[in-house]
Amino acid sequence: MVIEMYTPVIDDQRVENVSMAPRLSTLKNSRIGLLSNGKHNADVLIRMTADLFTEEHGGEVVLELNKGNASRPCPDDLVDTVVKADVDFMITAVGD
Amino acid sequence: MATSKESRQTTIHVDDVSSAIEYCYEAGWTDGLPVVPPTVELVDAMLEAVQMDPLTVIGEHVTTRRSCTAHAAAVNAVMAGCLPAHFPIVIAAMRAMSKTGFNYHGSTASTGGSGHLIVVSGPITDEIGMNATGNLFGSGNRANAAIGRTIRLIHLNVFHMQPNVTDKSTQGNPGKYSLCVAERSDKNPWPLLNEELGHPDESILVVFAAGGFHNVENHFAATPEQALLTIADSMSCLDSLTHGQSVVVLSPETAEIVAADISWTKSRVRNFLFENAYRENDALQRIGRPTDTDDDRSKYKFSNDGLKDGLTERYHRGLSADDILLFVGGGDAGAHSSFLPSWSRGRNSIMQSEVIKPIKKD
Repeated sequence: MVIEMYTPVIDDQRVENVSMAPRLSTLKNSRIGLLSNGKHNADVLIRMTADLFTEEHGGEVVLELNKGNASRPCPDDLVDTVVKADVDFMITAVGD
Repeated sequence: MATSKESRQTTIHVDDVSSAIEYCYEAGWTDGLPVVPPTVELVDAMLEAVQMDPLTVIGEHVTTRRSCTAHAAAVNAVMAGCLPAHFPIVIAAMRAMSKTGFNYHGSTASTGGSGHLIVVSGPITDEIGMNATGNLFGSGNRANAAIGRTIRLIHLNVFHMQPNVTDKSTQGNPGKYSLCVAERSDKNPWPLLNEELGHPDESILVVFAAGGFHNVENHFAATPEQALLTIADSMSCLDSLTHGQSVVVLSPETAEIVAADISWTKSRVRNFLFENAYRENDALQRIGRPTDTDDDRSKYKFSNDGLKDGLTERYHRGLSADDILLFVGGGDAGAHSSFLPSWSRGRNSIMQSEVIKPIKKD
């Protein structure tokens, strides 16, 4: 006997605006932003990563942000700051 | 009530029951155990019981921006093994977990591995045959098992919090299969949770993002202090010693010892547990945990906000006695109580409560 059953997922829930940011043509002399997720050592990891970029490609860190709490969603105002930041790229990191 | 703009659940056709079960496996819709095929008839009966618009939003997962409708919840409830009489508890649990303070995102995604505990209190526990006695935390009772499992299936299927994809728990938690219990109303010397929370004539639930289950045993304890110091010691073990909240479930045997002296009110018990669930500075330093004497890792310092009397070197679990949810549960025999720490190492998930709306009877 054929059974008709529902699916347990909601198929048409889609996250909006998830396209990738445009790729950079060069990393040279970039303006870099940092966003730590707030976990233990995330700030250390992110700074070391930024140093690799500046040592190899020049540029500078012009913005340093910290989400402050890894367990909670990023506050809207911080997301807004990242979106509007005058940087060539952002580095974000998880630490622990 | 808010309704979703999303469409209703879509349907599929399969040849027979065993094919339906295998289809659910292949689609990734199970927790590893077989599910009940959510036929249209069973799901519609679930919704009919609560007289709810199927598109009513009963839960929201902020970070994934996914919402759970009553219809989606009903499908997952059928799959988990729920009866329609169980469904009001599922709805109340989803609403409670969607409150901001619960932090649905962190508790479903974290390496820490939370089990989402549901504690049900009030007349509905007897009406639907929930277990509040022996084997409280499993297994053997359909309502307890299926209600807790429904919440997990919703996390998997509606919110897409899937193991090792979006749920990054390091070792998981047995409670991720199901973690739902009833408060024991007999053998209970104190006000029930529904009475404490101001709903003496209604049923309520409390949700708590729980860490691992600690069995606390001391069959030698003959006084309230001895019994409660054993629990406080478990609460203050170094892996659990944080500012997070706690759930303590006293066995009937332990509750009887404690409440034999009527001066041991529920409030006094909570105060005693808080005051004695502490470790001193040097114990934390021995295992490399930052303390107030360290300089830089301030997020992990334990301030002494909950303390008085200038006991500056004591680090307590929680911020105050109010951070302890205390109730009675389990079988008549055995001095086996339990302590469940919060998943959160701090204040990142706060337990929430919700009134359970009963099914209207004709």
